[in-house]
Amino acid sequence: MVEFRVFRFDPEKNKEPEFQSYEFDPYKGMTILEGLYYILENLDSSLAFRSSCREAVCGSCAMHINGIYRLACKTQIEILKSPITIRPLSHLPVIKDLVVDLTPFFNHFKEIKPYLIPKESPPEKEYIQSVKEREKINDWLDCILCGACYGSCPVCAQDDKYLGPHALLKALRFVDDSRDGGAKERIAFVTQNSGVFRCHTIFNCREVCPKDLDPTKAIAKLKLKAVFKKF
Amino acid sequence: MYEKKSGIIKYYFDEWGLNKNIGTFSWLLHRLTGMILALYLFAHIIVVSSGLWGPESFNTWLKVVQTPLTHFLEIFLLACIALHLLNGLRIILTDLLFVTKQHKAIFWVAGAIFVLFMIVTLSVFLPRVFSH
Ligand code: SF4
Ligand code: FES
Repeated sequence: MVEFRVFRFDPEKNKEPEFQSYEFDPYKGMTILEGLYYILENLDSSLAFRSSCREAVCGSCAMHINGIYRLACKTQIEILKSPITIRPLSHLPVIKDLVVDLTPFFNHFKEIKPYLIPKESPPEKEYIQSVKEREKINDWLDCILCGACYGSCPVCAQDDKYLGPHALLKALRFVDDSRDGGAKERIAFVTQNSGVFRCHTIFNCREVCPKDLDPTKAIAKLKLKAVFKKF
Repeated sequence: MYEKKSGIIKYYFDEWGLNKNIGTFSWLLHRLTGMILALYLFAHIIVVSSGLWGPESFNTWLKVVQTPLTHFLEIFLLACIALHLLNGLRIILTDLLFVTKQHKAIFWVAGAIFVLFMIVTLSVFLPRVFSH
């Protein structure tokens, strides 16, 4: 038997959120996401949560599970102690139960222009990128935009203009890209009031990232690049 | 839609409740010691500025603060300074050398240095507390 204590909030019924308990027998290898589906299908069809790929690729199912922000589909019930407490991501408005409104999160992502900006004189055919140049951005590529880092960052709670770990990590990914021509503009943008220097180096983002990325390091690199104008 | 609204004190408790790890702990400690040091600065300036009214006034004020209790608070103050300073160095190290992977190890090294520092501090200041 395992007990799920799930954060419930229905805007039509409740003013304040409450926790609801569900008990069931998990099978071997059952993930939290499968547990939630089990509840949805057998115990309570009003439960709302997001998911899509169920294999840690799409980033839809990030939530706060027993003390840590993680992907529900990447976490097995077995490794956790019952009761398992599940909350939605923090620092974002809750639409219903475990579903949050990710608009601020994605707005910050768009603000850093997450696409290549052409160089002043683009090549005739295509940009050639050597293996070495490609390796430079290896560490910053794999973000799946799950929002775990945003939810775990205490600065995001206080300053809704703060770009957030995900956006700053992405900014470095483009600054370091040999095909990108917008480094100067990007550095100027991330050094605004609510940019890199707002980071308090709390390390939560790198602790929770399900893709083992290191936004803290990316932010430190951006800071140094900005200070020494090396980009 | 539901948005959690919490006052400044509850905000710290909430963040700690949801992210119980070394990073959050050192950030909270840094905040707390920072605020204590800022408050101390005011007290310090008030006492020292009594010198503006001549040596007698300075001496009276100094006598006021030479009690067992203030000596005891001095130990507390030094602890705050050490914690704030060591954590500050830890952050500077991260920013300059990108040692994010080793941040937990660095935290424990800083903790060990703090313990050593406090042993020395106590051996110097505890006799003072009891010398009155
Ligand atoms: S950096 Fe990691 S935690 Fe943050 S959104 Fe991307 S994958 Fe998720
Ligand atoms: S469902 Fe896609 S990441 Fe979990």
